[in-house]
Amino acid sequence: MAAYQAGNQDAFGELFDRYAGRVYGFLIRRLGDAATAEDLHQEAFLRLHRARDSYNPERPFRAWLFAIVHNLVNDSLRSRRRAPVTEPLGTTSSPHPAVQTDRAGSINDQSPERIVAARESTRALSRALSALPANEATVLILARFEGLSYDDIGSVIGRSAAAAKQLAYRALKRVRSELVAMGHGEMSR
Amino acid sequence: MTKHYTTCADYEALLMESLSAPLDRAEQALLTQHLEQCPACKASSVEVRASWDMLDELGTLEPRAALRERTRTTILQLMATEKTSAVDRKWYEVSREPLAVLSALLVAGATLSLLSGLVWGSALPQGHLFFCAAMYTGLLVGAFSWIYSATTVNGVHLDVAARIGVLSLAITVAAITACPQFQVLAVWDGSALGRFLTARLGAGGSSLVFGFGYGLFPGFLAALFGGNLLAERPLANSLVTGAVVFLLASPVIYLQSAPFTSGVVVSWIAGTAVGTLCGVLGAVRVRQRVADAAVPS
Ligand SMILES: [Zn+2]
Repeated sequence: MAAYQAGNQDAFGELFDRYAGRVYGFLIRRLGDAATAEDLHQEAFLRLHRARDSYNPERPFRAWLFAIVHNLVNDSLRSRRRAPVTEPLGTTSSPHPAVQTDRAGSINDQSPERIVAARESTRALSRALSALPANEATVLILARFEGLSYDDIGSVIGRSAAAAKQLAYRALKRVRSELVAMGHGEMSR
Repeated sequence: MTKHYTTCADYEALLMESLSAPLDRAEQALLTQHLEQCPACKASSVEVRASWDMLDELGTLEPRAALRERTRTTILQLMATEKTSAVDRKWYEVSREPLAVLSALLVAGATLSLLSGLVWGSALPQGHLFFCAAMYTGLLVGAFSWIYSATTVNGVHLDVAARIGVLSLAITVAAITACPQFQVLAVWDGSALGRFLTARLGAGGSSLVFGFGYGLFPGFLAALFGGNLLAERPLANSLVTGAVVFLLASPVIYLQSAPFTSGVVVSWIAGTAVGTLCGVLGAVRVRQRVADAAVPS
């Protein structure tokens, strides 16, 4: 990172190879939309480049990187919300009625439909994830897919580790009820 | 090392930790015990765990090779142009920053007009005062140019804070020039609230309260609209923003301080410092709330 800050292009290349995929993964999960994720991928690295002098080497790099990407996503969603054309989420899917209403019972059995409906449930899952409130989505994605500690996640969103855990907990519950509402509650183990 | 767990929220946090990495035996036992005793947590924990496991379905994602190359090339080209322009760019080339030049001129003009009054109205040797005036002007010009040309310090965009400060300075200078009797603190002292507070807290207490409001609003605005990265290190970055706003507010106070006793002016300045800090921290809190509530459309 120090070499990159000094303007070394090879150092940037190395850093890019390591994080290009992670940034893309975060964007697509956070936004649930490949086209916007692709648009923001370049912008994320541009912001990182512009902010490179403010990086404090005593802090974990990934927390700094994802704070930039998190803010970028928030800014972009905010400006998109200001634009008039928005399509409501979930209009293209036809929700299935929930087969089982007894939640505790349905979760514990390994149902064979799970495999058959895997693709559809994946889509529902990604939709539920991207529909979460900003901080909840970021916290959950970073904890689940990036393996960041809650201390680092807290610093990404500017909150304490305890607050981050609480947000992640809330996010998981929200994802769950969202899936049940979309008729995918029976797919889980 | 076992921490203390009392409320359900503590166990919710513990459950989240257990999903990321296995807990030590004592903590796991505590969690299991609580879940057995607390039906609400038990039910939630089942849902939470199910969601966590389901997210497994969203496997790893890689960007298309073309996208990767596009992003990489963009940054590498940018780095190449930066390298060449860094050689061309000279330290005194402020003309690249029109705002820096404009604000520097504004500050220089204001300071000179202020100090010329001091020079001719003072008993001190004129040479001494001119020297001080030149030094003070130079320092301010330098500071403003630097503030504008350096867009970020510690990840905070300072231009908004600086702009608010220059604006309030310009308003004050214009007001004082147009109407020499105008003193914002005198207006406050004449108001009903000002009179009430002066009766209760004395002149110093009243100007402390006034100063608080005087710092609160610019601090709040600067932090609310400045710095997209303010969320990253809220405390450190709030302090930076607050300090800049305060530094910019203090010449405005100085310009208006003439008719008041030093005690009143010190209270004003102290109130402004506290107010600025509160304004900035309040804005950071608002930004966090907004970010928490933001649901993508
Ligand atoms: Zn409980």
